[in-house]
Amino acid sequence: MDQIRDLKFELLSVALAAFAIIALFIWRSEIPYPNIADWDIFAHQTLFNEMGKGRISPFPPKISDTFLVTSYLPTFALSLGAVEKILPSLSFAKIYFLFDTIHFLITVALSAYLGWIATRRKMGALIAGSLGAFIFESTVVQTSLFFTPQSAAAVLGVLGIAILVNRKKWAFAPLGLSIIFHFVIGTGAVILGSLVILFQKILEKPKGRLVALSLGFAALIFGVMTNFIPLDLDPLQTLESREFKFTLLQKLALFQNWYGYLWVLYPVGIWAAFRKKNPKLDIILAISWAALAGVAIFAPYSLKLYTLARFLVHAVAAAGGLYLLENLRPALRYALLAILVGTQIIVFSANQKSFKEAFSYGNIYTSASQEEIDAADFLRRYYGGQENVLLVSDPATQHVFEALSTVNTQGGAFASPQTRMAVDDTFPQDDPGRVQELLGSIKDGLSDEYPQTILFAVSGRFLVWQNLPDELRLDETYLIWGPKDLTPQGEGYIDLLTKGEFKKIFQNKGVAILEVER
Amino acid sequence: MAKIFSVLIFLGISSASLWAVAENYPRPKVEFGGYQASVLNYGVVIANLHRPGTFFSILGYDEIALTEDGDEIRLGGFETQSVEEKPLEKIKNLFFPPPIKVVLSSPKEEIETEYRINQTGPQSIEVVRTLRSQKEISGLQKGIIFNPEDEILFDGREVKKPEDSELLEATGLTKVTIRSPGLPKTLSIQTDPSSTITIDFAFHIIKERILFSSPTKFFENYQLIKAEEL
Repeated sequence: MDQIRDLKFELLSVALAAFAIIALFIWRSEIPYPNIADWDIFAHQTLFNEMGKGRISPFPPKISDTFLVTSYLPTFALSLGAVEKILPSLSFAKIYFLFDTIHFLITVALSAYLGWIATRRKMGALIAGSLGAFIFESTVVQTSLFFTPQSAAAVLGVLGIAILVNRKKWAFAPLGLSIIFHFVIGTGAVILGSLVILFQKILEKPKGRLVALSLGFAALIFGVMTNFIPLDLDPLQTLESREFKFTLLQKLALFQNWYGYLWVLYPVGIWAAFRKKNPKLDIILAISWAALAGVAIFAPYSLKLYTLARFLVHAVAAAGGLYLLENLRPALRYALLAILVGTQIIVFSANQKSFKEAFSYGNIYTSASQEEIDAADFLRRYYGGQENVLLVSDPATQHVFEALSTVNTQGGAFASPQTRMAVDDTFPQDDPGRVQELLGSIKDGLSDEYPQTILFAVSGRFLVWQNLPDELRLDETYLIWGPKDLTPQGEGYIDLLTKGEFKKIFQNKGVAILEVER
Repeated sequence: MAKIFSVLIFLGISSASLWAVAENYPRPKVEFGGYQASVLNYGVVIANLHRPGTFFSILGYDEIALTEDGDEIRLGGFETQSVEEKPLEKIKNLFFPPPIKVVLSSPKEEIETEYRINQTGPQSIEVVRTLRSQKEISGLQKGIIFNPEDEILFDGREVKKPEDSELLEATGLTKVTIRSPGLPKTLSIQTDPSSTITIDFAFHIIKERILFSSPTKFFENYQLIKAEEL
């Protein structure tokens, strides 16, 4: 490795900035500013809205029935909400566009930093940074492109780990914050941080290197083995938890979508670590195995731990890439580096495109259309803050509208099976009275009282959802993620409802809002 | 030797990744109003009839099992065949995706609807309707009789699904073109209300919608008979 004349810091910075800009350009080119393709962010906005109504609790499920389990404190929602209050001129989408972008830049920089620690070379930082920019885990993990509690916790946690590997102080601050942002990811980061300290101690002993690496590898084997023992590691036993319990083969298939075959650099990095005897690389390798052990465990949501593991894997992969390049002539080295980056760009282009398809709307991708935003603005103006009003629609419309309008829904995207069935039965219907009756049977999960006024949002999403096959309509994990416009079928339905007690209070091409008393 | 090995690993990783992308590249999703179908294997449209009386509706990309080459797919009354792609074609198609032709035909109504899907972006689609025999579409102002050779082209991004009201909503279409051997030239109607209709016949244009009073519900019970590259 020493044969390489290393990059200048300025060149590294420019290259990393270029990678980030290219990745953001590819990602954002069909999501015109200020649209966003975020989804979870609506739930956090809802949480903040509900806290604004005086529902204060450290446990999100006590604040809003949109949250079913407590995975974190409402710190994330409060942080974002505080920014909204400080910058009231910025819209919801603009704020999250800003946060997502800053978060992305930080993940690229952090990847490069860890790559630099692992390889002691700026070219190692360059390779790790490129992986940080162009690898997007488009299922469950989603570390880089979305600012969420888990991704924020991962960044903080890995920062703490990096500080520990460098034997610097104050690692406990980011690690502690990491737990506050996300219990599981934060705890994972603290465990990995503890392992760093343990391995550093072990490495000081004779044959300590063998022991440290063996312990890390043993952890990985244990994680893999959980896939082959008849143990049910699903304490939640919900439809969603079952949906997010991936087998080893499913996980490997996802990795192929995210990486193509770029993951081969990781085993090369393992080989490089064995050859180089670099204590910091040894430690990063050992804890990457421990982190991958968590990912490999056959349990729901275990894949989320890759938010932490990805930084470590990329650092080891960077060591692998550097190992392959180190003895080559400069011209050939840079040519191969260019091929590597070009490959990453192609893999990223395809991967992110696949992810965005769910948010297709006309010629763009977005999670909320301007029509939906306009309708939500109308609702916020006239119904926002009212306690006796409930908005009802398909789960996706509820999810978006509850966040943007501040009008309460039953469960948002996580509407209860009873609510889903009641909404399901509202269409098709010949009798507006029956629809009114069905809507009147729905009430908020945190309230004992039924609402006085029901706002029924008949949106394009609602109609698409209604036309889904039964198994998808009642599937808690399936939503109409992208906005849709109303169809003549919907307009006919709206006309039918207005012949009953329903009063149309708003309509545009995306959604009609009908008010009815319970 | 080590240098050659390094170069080979790098090139191997890149070419294998490119191959994986070509294999898994997201196929364009075709939307018909709120309804979508995914195009797989460059030539296969998977469609499903979920409820009687509705147009074929969504099966998202992630919900469909990828088919093997040569498989026959029969879903909800629609039938199609996958088109075999040779290995090098997969790479070529990744960068130069060919347009896809999907034909829906109705034995009852004797009308054939062809969707020419341009895979250059989301929802880039051209719709061509051809009658199989001489037929009057009485919704037209002057009762134009279409001949089997006629083609009705909807040059727009999106075609909405027809509903029980017998409307073919065409909101968002930019141009409707009639090609008929019996007419002196191709006739076009701009659906933009501000445009002047200069041809000697017109569809009923009601608030940017094109109304067909007949044929009724001509999308019902259609069979997807063909899916192939143009």
